[in-house]
Formats: sequence, C-alpha cells, structure tokens
Amino acid sequence: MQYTKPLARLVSELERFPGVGPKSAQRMAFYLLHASEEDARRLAEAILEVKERVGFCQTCFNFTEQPICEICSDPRRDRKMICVVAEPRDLIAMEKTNEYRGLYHVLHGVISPQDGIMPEMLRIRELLPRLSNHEVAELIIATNPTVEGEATAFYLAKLIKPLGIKVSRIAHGLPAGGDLDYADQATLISALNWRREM
Amino acid sequence: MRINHLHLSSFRNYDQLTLDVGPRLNIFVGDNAQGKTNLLEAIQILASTHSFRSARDADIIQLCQNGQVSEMTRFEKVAVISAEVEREDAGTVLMEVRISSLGKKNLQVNGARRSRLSDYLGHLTAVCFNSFDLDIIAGEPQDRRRFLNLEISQLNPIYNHYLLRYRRALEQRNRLLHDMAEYGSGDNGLDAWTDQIVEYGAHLFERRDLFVKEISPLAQTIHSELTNGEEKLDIRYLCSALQNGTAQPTDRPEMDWGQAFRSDLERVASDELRRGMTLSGPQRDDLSILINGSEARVFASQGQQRTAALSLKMAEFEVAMGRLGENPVLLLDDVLSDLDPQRQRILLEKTNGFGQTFLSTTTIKGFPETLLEQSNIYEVKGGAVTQNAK
Repeated sequence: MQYTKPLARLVSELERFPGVGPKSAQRMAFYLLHASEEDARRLAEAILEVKERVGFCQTCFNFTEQPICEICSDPRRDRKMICVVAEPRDLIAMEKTNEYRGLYHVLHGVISPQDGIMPEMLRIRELLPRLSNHEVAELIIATNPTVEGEATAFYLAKLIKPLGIKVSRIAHGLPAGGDLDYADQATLISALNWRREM
Repeated sequence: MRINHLHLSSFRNYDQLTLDVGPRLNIFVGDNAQGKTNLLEAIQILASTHSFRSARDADIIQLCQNGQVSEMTRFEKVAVISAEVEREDAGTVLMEVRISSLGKKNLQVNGARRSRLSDYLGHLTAVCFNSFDLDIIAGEPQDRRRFLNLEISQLNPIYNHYLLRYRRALEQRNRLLHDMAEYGSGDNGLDAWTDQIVEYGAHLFERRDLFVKEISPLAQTIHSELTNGEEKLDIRYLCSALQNGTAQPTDRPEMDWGQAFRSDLERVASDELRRGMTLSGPQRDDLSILINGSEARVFASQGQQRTAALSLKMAEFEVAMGRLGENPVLLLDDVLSDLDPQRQRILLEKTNGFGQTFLSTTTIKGFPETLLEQSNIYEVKGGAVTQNAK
C-alpha cells in the first residue's frame, strides 16, 4: 500500500532533513495530517518567513534579519577580538557563556577534501578584509578538535599570522568539574599537552 | 591471573560444557575438527570480547544440535561463555560474555552488566599464539604493521587514538593529492594536511620504534634458547621516514620524529604531486626480521619461520607481563606442529614457567614426562571434553 500522492510528497520532503529517516518522516507527516489547519499553516509560514527574512550578516556570516547582525553592530562588543567558528550553532554555544565579548566569524564548514570542501568554499576570503584595518589584535580559532577542525585551524593560522595578528587556538582537555578518573586517555593526554604554568 | 572454571553454552560445537582447569599447563588433545581451538577461542573472547578467527559475532553461536537444525534457530539464540578468574590483586571475579544471534553482546563482571567496553576489559588478559602469527614473518608488510598496531595498542591504548586520527588525516591528504594530480586543482591547503599527518604520524613512529627496541632483545634471547644457540634473530624497524626502507640501527636516543617525517615528505613532495598520493609515513613502515643475518621471510624454512614467530610473540608476552605485574593467560593453538621435537620440548618447558597455559594439539607423543605429570590433559572429541586421570 502506497501513500496517497500529496502525503508521499510530504514524506519525501521531510526525509531530506538531517537526521530524519523514512520512519521519522512518516511520523511527522501523520502528525501534520492530524494537526489543525491553523497549526499546519503556522508551520508553513514559519518556514517561508525564515527563508524570506533571514540571511547572512555581511560582516561575520552569522544568520541575521539585518544586513549586519546584532553582535557586529553592538558598540559594546570588543572589536579587537574575532572568534572563528565553523557553524552558527558554535557561535550560539559561545554566546551562551555570556563571557566572550568580542566579535565572531562563521566559516560555514571545515576543510574536508573527501567531502569536496576546499578552503575557497568557506568564508575565509571574507575574513581577510576584516583584519586589514589594524583594529583586530587577536584571532581565536574555535573549530572542533577533529582532524578536519585542526587542519582548518592550521590553514587559517598559516594564512593570518604573516599579517602580524596574534592567532590563538582554544584549549582542549578536561571538562570543567570533570573527574580525572572518568576522562578517557586521549582527553587526559590532551589536557597534559595543553597544561599551563602556575 | 588464572581461570578456575570455564563454562560454555551453545558455543560453536559445545552444547553445554563445564570444565575445571588446572593452574599450569592444560592440554587439549584430539583429532582435527573436534573443538580444541573452540575452547581457546572462548577464552580469547572472554578476555578481549573478540574472536581471533571470526569477524562476525553471530558465527560463534551453535546452530546445530545432533546434526539437526535446532528449533531455537528460528528465535534469538544466545551463546554464553563464563569463567571464574582468580587474580593476585583482586581475588576471584566471575566474567561472562553473552552473544546473541542478532549480534548483540552482553558483558558481565560478577553478575553486573558492564555497558562500557573499558569497564569490562582488564579483568582477564590472554595472549594467543596461533597459525596466523606466521604471517608476521612470512607475510606482507601490512601483516607486520597490523602486528605492530595490535600489540602496541594493547600496551598503550592511546596509540589507537593516534592511529585513527592519522588514518583520517591521511585519507583527506590522499584525496587532495589525488584531485591535484587528476584535475590539476591548485594547492588547496596541502600544508594543513601535511601538518596533521606529521603530528599524528610522529607519535606512531616513536611508539613503534620504542616497541621494537623493547621487544627485539627479548625475542633474540628467547629465539636463541629455542634453537639451542644455533640461530640469531634480529628485528629491525624499517621506518619509512628514514630513507624509505633502508635498515636503520634502532638506537636513536633523541630522535625528532616529526622533523624526520617532515623532511622525508619534502623529499618525496614532487613525486606525491605527480602520483597523487602520500608516499611516506607509518602506512609504509615494515619490520626486517633476520635469522643469522638473512631475511627470514625469504630464506628461512617453515619451521624456522614458526620459531621466529613464537620468539616474537613470547617476547611480547614478557613485555605484557611486565606491564600487568602478573601473568596473562597463555593460549597456544596448535603451534607445535611445525617444530622439531627438540624445539617443541624447549618451548613447552619455557611456557611452563609462564603461569596458566592452554594448549591444543593432535598428539602428546614426545611431550616430556615431567611436564605431563604437572599438566591437566583433556581429550576433546566431538564437542565433549573428558579429563584424563593422572
């Protein structure tokens, strides 16, 4: 037994979401069928609205409704520091700390030849002009400590250090409040390598 | 450490089996295909959760009983291996591995389920010698690299972490070099990948070098004992970053492996761009194993190769013993067959000093009487095990 045509179309659209398989897509589609017309319309409008109104910040490439995002246009932010992250969700994680007061730059990915992602496909070219006005003193590279994240960090460091800007990499090691005996060996060794003098 | 009792249920050709085993040498005697190796395999699975011969877990479940397909095969069936293990430091622990026909594995220590592998491992350590060891001597370079990777990760679990990261970075770098050679795409951050493989590769080189340095004098001494001083075994680490394949003396006290790897990559840089792949690194390492100065892979007889493999594995056993602070359980799976009686006798006497040993053989003819007196001998026939009266 096959789905009736409009339902099949909805299921196959939903299947394209990341992390959604045929079963979940089917469950969502049936949920929508049972939902009130008003609920369905609200969802459809939200999808359209996000596509119409949200775009990239022309400076940092975070998602925003404005041409320049709220962080970039906030006069209270420290313009001497730029934190480079791979994805918008990493920026949100950093913002939740309420500690970092500098600016950001979102690459939208990491270098990965196997996935066909080369440096020129990331927002690296757009980062360089931001560094040429002598305002920025430090670039903090906050890509994930995966092989690809490290390679991307190395690529950026090599590109930007000659410009006379301090380039730093976020530390990795033990989680705050973590127990030594619960940490895996790779984490412990990384914590050892990144130790600091007291 | 030692095993006191072994219990099997629905495992390979065993329906139900409970076996009291001795603290020293345990000999399983029987014809081919009677279930001798299955007993050693069970102990290996209990120690490491992996079999030395089957990639699929479900393969080890007994599917036939009395020659008839069991009714149970229609439902989920579970093979159980359990043993009481006595350790010097921790007293007695009960270990159990359950493997279901759906491929699920359930690990228990003293009746409590351990969902993390790292919480299960370490209660029982077993070192197994079997016919695959011959590949270390007679096989391809990749067999010797596999030996290095396996043994070093057992001693240093962090090695495996570096190995996985190295492989990942290498795949990425190879892909980039391939695209550069194939499509003439420009230098899209090759340096970044070079830096990554150098970082992880240097760790692999260093640990392989240390391992060979540690194991090679031990193996030499053991080999000399096994051959009555007639053969001299030399093991050399052929590190691909050092002149690509030329034998190097293993005494380099203050070696900068990262620097060595980097300069070798520079040496092959233009070739890499032409051929579109990485041409230096741990993936091209090898061991040179020499008996009396000749390459054992090419010039040694089957018996000599077998002896050299045993010497290597016994050296590894001694290294593991030093790290553990007590004897691992030793599993010898039909390793005597290619050896002459004298080498057999020396091997048996040597392993007898190693603690608890399990050995499978088709015959005990020619075994020293004194050794047999101290051993437990079991006859294995068609999935039944009977202990010989002493």
